[in-house]
Amino acid sequence: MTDQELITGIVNREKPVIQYLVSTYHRQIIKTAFHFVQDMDDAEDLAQDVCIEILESAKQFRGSATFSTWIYRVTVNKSLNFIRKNKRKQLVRQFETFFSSSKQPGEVQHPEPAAENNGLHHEENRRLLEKAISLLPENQKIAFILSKYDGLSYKEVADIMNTSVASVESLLSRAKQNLQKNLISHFSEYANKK
Amino acid sequence: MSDCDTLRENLFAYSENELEPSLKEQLDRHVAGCGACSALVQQFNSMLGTIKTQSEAEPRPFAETRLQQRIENYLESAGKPLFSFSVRTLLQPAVISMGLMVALAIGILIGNGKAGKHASLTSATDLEMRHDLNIPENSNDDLINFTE
Repeated sequence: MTDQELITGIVNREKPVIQYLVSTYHRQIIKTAFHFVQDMDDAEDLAQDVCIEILESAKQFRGSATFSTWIYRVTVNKSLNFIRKNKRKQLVRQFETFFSSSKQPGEVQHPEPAAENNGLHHEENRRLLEKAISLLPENQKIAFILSKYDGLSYKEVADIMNTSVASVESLLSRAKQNLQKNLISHFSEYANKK
Repeated sequence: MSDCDTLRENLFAYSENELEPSLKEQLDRHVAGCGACSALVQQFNSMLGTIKTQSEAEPRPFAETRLQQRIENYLESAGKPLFSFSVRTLLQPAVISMGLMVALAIGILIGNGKAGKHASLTSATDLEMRHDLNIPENSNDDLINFTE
């Protein structure tokens, strides 16, 4: 099915076309949303929002980008909006976790050592990286996630972000520098604690 | 700049094998002999390894079916009650205001009726008083003027 046939079918609310849309793109949408929000339940909810947004705004699709690129854009926007809205909720959760733990105020929680991977469990590693990524500026975050987690080429990332390949390279380079800085400082802190 | 600093500056590129061969070799030799840098590289690689596992995470079973169902529900709910809801929303205040206007009109009519009755009673009293005071009924003299 071509992009134009897909759009026409969606605009006309043709059931087989809408089913085709969901079956073809649900995996891409859920996976990308998951890479941003790091929760499968939230990613599935976001996939619903993305599909509805596509159904509602299909008429405005001009065809300047491919349908797949457009879906990526909608998914990224929905995911970033979700993260913004949930920032307050996460702060409250972190606050509760902090006070429910036995740690003293001001003491940073560090993962317990584990012999097999030099002191950091896989889940703790994942959380630390997630935290470091969350601190990145939005454009660097988008470029990094789409490139590293979704495995897209610089050209694909550039199309989704509506920018040049050179800009994507620069964003990724800065994202890596920032992540490296944040993570090294965490590791040194951890080494000092040991 | 020491080799430790060079490694820290290029840790991401070193871990992803994106350094120039000469620098890569230099840092390889350094890491082999420096415990702290070796631990740092190991920790960093282990952290980058989580990207692979996260990127390989697949949607849960029946995610597609659930999504299809949600979209169908949305399309059904988006088509159905939209019209009836808007008619009700539009008509409700109109019906209420019409009721209020009818009630107000009835009130005014009743009020006018009572006022008319009262006026006739007043004029009857007026006639009686004129009669008692011997004032001709067709006289232009006002009762109040007279009393004054």
